[in-house]
Amino acid sequence: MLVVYFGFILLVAYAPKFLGMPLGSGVMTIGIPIGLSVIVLAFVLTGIYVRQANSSYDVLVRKIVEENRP
Amino acid sequence: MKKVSWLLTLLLVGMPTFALAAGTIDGGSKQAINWSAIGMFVGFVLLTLVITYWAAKRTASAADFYSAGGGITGFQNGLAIAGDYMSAASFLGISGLVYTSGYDGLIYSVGWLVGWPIVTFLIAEQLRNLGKFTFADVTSFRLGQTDIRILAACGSLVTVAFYLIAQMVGAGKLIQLLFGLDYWIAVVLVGGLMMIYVTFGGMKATTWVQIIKAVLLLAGATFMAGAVLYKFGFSPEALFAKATEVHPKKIAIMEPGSLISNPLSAISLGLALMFGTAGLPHILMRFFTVKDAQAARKSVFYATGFIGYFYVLTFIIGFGAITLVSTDATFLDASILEKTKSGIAAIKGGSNMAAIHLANAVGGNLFLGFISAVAFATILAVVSGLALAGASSISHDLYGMVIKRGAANEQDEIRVSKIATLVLGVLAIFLGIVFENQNVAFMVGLAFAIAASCNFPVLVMSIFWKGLTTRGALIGGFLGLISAVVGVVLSPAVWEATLGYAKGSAPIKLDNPALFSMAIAFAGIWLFSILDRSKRAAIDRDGFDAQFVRSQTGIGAASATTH
Repeated sequence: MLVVYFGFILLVAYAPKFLGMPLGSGVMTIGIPIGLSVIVLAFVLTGIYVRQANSSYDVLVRKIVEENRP
Repeated sequence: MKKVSWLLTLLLVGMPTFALAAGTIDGGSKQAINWSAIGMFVGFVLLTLVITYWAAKRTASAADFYSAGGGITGFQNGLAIAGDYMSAASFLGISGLVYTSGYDGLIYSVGWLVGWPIVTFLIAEQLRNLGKFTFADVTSFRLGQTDIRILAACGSLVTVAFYLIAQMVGAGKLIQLLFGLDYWIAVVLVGGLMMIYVTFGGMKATTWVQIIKAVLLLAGATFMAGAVLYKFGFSPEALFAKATEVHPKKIAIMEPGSLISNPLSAISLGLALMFGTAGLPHILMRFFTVKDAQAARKSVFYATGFIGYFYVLTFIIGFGAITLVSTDATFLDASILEKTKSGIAAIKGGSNMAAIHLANAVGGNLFLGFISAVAFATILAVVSGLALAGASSISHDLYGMVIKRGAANEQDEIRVSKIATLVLGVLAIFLGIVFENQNVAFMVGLAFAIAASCNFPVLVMSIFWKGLTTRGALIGGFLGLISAVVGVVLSPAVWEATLGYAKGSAPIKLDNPALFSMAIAFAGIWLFSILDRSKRAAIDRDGFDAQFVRSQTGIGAASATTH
């Protein structure tokens, strides 16, 4: 996530012209879909993490806790 | 309880007359009176007052007051967090930024949103497992109570103050536009209502006001973006084509650059938005309202979804405003239009009003009323959350833990936080008037810089770094806080625009100081912890293992209180 975000910010900082490149023949630039996909990606990655943590990770933690109960 | 109902009655009776009086003063000169808007304003205020009344009856203990008794579900909390995020500053400010600068508005949105996964991955569950009411509970878990509480309270209060200014400015501008009220009266009105919600309803009222508002705002923004796209046959290409045609910057609005002048400034702003998220006291506080770490994680997931969706909508709304508002003379100030020949610069009430005018353009007067009422509700809800965060930090951290050494009577603590709310309210009103002419989204950026350089470094180091000592956290945290404040004062936004020095004379060219102030904070924490050989330092380091176990497993965490 950090990589994606700083990649985006570095693009903004050092290559604004790249993000300003027109897509196809119209006025739509490549920066629009890139920017929007960063937003979508943030949501998807959060979802994956929460799923993982709530299903498998917490079960593992509970197991360890149970095993160490005196 | 008697006092509550008395105050409520007073307010219920007072509201409509107040609106009426405002109407008669300013008949036709500034803004025609919009009765549907006023009706919805009053309706929302009544609804929230009923909720406050309901919450006040159920708020007895400190746990109820600070964290709604831990009884909020993950989904509800996700909505409430999203509500905190979708502040008037981000709704009006970002759509305003898109309106003036196009693509640059999206950079702000992305920065704001991407802070989210960072919060989840790093701190949400640890926070829930270690904390009780404020994030200082977490940082002072194994460190010296007194010093760390003072540090956390300072960090919280400065952040809250800046954020409050932004909200107040938005509120003032909005009500000024809608009612034709003087700016300062509008600010006083918002401050007053906020004090009532927080003092009487505590966290429960604040959370429910936030949830209702989030739903209304999402619905309204969806309708607006839908209406804009409908006008262009659901083709974004057609929307962008029209926007580049009518905007004075032409094709330049489709690429970054016009707002952020140099790369360092862009990176610094990004850092502030991202890590600032993880240091905002009113957001951190929401993680104490759910029952366990699982619910805390889920709430971040829901919140990310809502916020992401919302920012996509604001982007469309901003472009919609370029095409529909800047080309329509009814929304423009004729004298400015004459001078600049630009519909963008001539917008009535400034760029922050872009979304409001657009509501009128696509949905007529009735919808304008709805969006205005929602925007007003937004400000009230966010401002209340902020005030509560600030007040808890004064009463729980400063009064309860520092002055009374943890032996404060619960009722006294609540009383102190109510007084603190009143003081904060007055302060917010005063500062809101001083900072009248700042772009509100930018002020929020400043609040984020401070959160990122003081609260976040101390919080993250205390959770993850065994070597952290009280002295290190204290010196590093204050260094971060001071450098962020100094950096903000010396930045172009404050130095030139607010203090009135000549353009280009600002000592620090960065719009946002996070880049160096965060580095100073982390370096300071590290250096002074390493050098710390005191007895206290040994205790701090030894406490880490116990803290780590609890943060990972939740054993011994504060549980939800049931009623």
